[in-house]
Amino acid sequence: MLRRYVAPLRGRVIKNAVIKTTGTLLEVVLPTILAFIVDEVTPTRDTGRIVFWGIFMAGCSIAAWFLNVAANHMASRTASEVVSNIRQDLFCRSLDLSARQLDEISVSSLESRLTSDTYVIHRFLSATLRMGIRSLLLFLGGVFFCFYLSWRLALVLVVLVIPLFFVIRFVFSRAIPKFRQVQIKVDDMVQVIRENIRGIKVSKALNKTQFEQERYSVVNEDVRQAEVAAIDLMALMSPLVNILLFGGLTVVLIYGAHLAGAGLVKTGTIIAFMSYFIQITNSLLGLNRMFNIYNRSVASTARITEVLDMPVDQSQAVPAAEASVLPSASPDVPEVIFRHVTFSYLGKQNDLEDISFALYPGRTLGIMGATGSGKSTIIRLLLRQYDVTSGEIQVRGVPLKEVPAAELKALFGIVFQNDFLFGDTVRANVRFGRDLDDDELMTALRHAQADDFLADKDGGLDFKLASKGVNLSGGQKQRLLLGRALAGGPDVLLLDDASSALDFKTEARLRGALRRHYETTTIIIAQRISSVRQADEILFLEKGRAIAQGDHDHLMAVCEPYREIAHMQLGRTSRTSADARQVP
Amino acid sequence: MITEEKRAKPKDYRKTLRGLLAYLRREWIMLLFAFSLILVSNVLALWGPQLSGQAIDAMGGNSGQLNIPLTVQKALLMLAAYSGAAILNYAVTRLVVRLSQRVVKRMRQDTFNKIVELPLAYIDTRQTGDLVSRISYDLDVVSQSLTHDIIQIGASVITVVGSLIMMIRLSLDLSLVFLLIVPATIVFTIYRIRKTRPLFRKRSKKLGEMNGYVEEILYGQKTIRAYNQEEHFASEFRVRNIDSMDAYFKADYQASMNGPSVTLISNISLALVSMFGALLFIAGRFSLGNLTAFILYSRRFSGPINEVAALIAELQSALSAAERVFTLLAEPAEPADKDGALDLTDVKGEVEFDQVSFAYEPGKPVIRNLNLKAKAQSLTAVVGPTGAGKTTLVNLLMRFYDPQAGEIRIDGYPIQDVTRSSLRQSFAMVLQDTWLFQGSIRDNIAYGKPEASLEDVKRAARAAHIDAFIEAQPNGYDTIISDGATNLSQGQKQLLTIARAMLLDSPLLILDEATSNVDSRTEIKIQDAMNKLIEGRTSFVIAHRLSTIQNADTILLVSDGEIIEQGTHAELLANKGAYEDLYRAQFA
Repeated sequence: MLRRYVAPLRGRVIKNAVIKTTGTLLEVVLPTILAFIVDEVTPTRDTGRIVFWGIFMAGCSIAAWFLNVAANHMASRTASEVVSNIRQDLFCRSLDLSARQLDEISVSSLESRLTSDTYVIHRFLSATLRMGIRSLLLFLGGVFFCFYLSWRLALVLVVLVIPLFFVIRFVFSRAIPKFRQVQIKVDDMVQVIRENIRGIKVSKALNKTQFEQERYSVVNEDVRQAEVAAIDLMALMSPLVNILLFGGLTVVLIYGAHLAGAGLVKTGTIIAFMSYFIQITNSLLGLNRMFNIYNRSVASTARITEVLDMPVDQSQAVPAAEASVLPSASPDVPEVIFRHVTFSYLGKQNDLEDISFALYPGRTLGIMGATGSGKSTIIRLLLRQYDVTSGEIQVRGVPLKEVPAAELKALFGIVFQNDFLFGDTVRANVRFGRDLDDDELMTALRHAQADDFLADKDGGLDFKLASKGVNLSGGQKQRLLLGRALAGGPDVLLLDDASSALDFKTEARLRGALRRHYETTTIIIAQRISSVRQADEILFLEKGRAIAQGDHDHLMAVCEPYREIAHMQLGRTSRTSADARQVP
Repeated sequence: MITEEKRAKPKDYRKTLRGLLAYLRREWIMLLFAFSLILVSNVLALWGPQLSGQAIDAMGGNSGQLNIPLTVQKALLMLAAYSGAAILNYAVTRLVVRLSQRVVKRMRQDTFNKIVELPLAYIDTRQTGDLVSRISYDLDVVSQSLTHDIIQIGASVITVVGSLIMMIRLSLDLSLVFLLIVPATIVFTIYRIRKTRPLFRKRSKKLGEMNGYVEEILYGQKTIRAYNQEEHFASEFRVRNIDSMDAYFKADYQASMNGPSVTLISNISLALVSMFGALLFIAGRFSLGNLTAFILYSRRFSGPINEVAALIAELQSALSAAERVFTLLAEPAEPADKDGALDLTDVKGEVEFDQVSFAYEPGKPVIRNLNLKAKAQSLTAVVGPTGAGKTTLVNLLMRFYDPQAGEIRIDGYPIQDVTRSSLRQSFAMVLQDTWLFQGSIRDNIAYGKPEASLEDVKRAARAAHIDAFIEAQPNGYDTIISDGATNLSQGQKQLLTIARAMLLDSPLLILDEATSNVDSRTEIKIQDAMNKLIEGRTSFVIAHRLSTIQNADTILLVSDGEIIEQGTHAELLANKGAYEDLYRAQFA
């Protein structure tokens, strides 16, 4: 995956590598010059040449500085750009996931992929581009110069490579699963934190603060143990590598002494050779550190790739060949038809069974029923968050599967149960990215009965909501959400428990405003009889089935549970809507 | 969102450092042990170059006489020294990992403890993501830094000092070079720290902001898709993404300048050492072996100096991260109970509000001069338009917030004078906003009364009419559920929290829209249970559905923080005021 994102910047990365290489080479060459000074120049006792080469070394150092700074600058920029692209794509992909895919991954996992995983990759990239190339070059350069100085002594290095390779493989093969374990434990820990912040009121009310602190200490300890186990393993690496290398160095000294005795190498060469040997050690440790970061990034990359590469939910795609243009509304064609729709979330029991209705333009469908009886599912199916298991849904006579997503969504104004508000102005929350001016927003808010409380808030449309709208009451939130749904001038309004937090008076005014100013087709899910009693048709659901279907009077006559609710909410006397107006 | 980072001043770094040291101080035995191991291991490592220099000399670079046995002896000694150092190093790493993980674990725990002890006023105004990222991200940075940097700092100091001593012993003249280098490095380092500090702070802050945004928006994913606004939010995100990347880049780039710069200083010193070393050799004041050793020491010496740059970058990001944690830790928790605060016991349940005024934000009162008396075991219903301050009454009763003026009394005791825990223990509460944690259904129901038997739990579930649903689950009462569970409807979640309240035997009860997500039929079914819940307790019921409160002893109609009407259902209807309007609206 990383390759995919780095590839477009290939030119710069190569330029970066070249500059870095040149800069590093200038550094690598220093000990060779040093050997040259000791072996070749010193014996001539030519002070002038010694000073010249000394200054030459200093010159190389300065040039190396310029090149390295330039290379690091490029590296930082490249890493930042790559990661910000990955993060942007990941965010877009996350927003694009189908409801099923989102359920599968879960929001909090997505969030940690977007934040901590991309951060790990950032660290990895900037470390690789900066130190990785450098460590590698110092290593390769060291090896090269060792051979250049004395191929006989350098053979020692070649022999070392094999055990080194196995040590590194041994440690890594064991460490990677351990690091994955760390990530899992951290996820669990975060889950507990998140839960606690959400449930703070409950845990405080029940004096469970200490209990929660103890609960956290368990997951906290798990993280600690996992981390210690992982790092313990990695800690093996550097001493093993060191002992091997210094073993090699010992051999170099002893073997070098023999070679020197035979006149095959000069002492200055051995000095330089040792200098390179230490450079190789240091670069290997540098590479080791890189590998540490790499280890963590492998797990993170996998987690990100999983989301990025998640196929577009095929069931959701509308093949171009089958796509139909949605006709405009016609009084003779139902806006929405459900024909014997059956649906199951998990494929086990049916969450909806054999639902049928036809909703003509300008009409209102009410849906009532127990919690978990499938009310919200009807709206989800209509939005194609999920596809029906059997049966058919049509919009304006066109099968739902043939309607392009954008056209379908343009049709609706929606308020979900406990819908989403975010930390920005009222304007941003109501406009919601659409091309709407303040007048349109204010009109919608007025009809949604939100204008009066808004007038009390500083700045009106500019009033800043706190995150998740916590600085508003439940009813205020619902009115803003209704405003959002109305502002787009939707053809079909879908309201899922959208006015449950409104007091009856406000809700009555809202219904009045909707009746007067909008000719939309409406599907309204509610708990209150008063919200649906004027609907043209009411579906009463029980365990996914429509046990009664008809207008208020019809349901009062035939549907016992509906009648019970009506009695409870409206009082015994209210037999029919006509009667209701005469209640005290 | 309020960002306390704005208040941070440079000197806060010192405070942060002090805070970190306070944590480390508790591990001083381990720390001392680690440092002594580091000392031994580095002294051994420092001995290495001297031995290799002696080995070179034994080859006869100076005298021209090759002494192979001596070379072998010195070489093997060198290997022993380096191996010893490596093994000790391994021990040090294991030790320091344990040490730093203990420290970080304690910091995480303290941070978490703080979060759950913070007053609601703090939590309500922050993004969850930002709070979470202090533990998950900021403390991770601190942990990484502690693990690596303790060893680094220890080793660096010893290596630098040791190398310097060895070099001075080898040649005082040549060491003079380093008298130039060391101050130059120090001055440079301090300059860099000054320069990059604000950049790192900004980096942490921007990252926190972006994380908060991500969390917030992802929770609205389904709505965003329903409105087809993915692109709009992607472009909103882009701004924050680029912002945070920009901050990251600037800090990263500045930090990345340090490496080459310090390398430059050390390379120039190498050049000077070579040049002057050769000159000294010519002058006959230096052996070739000594020159070798000196150069190796100078390489050793510059090693840590090179590392200093990387170290600074890491320490800085660790300090900025720690700073965010310490600012959180420094937030005042819920004020402690008063000295000599009473434990509420045998509560009869008389509740009185006396001239209570309260505002969340100064100048915007939510409740004004509220007076209210609820007799023991009475039922008080609170109705009124949304935003009228009904939930605020609950917040004040439970002391989630304290009123700015006036007093609330239970059984005649001002609630400020009793312990919070005994006060809260006196209440059972069901809120509109349900909350479940990841755990078994049984644990969720028994949350307020962990000692409850399975039978008790089942009875509560039955009373809340959620037992059939629970038993249909694959593992019954042991089924694991969580707050984000998609297989639970809002109403089912609320029934579980009602069952939770049913288990408690508290003398006071708060129902804040307790059945708002429960459908009316289920509501009818649990009506009995609810009545039983209310029976014998002083109850406060906040509701929209007037039918549920018609039996209340007192109905309060609240509007704009004031009680505008008060009385029984019949009285209020007869009154033909606002309550009657509200009641009629229900049937419009």
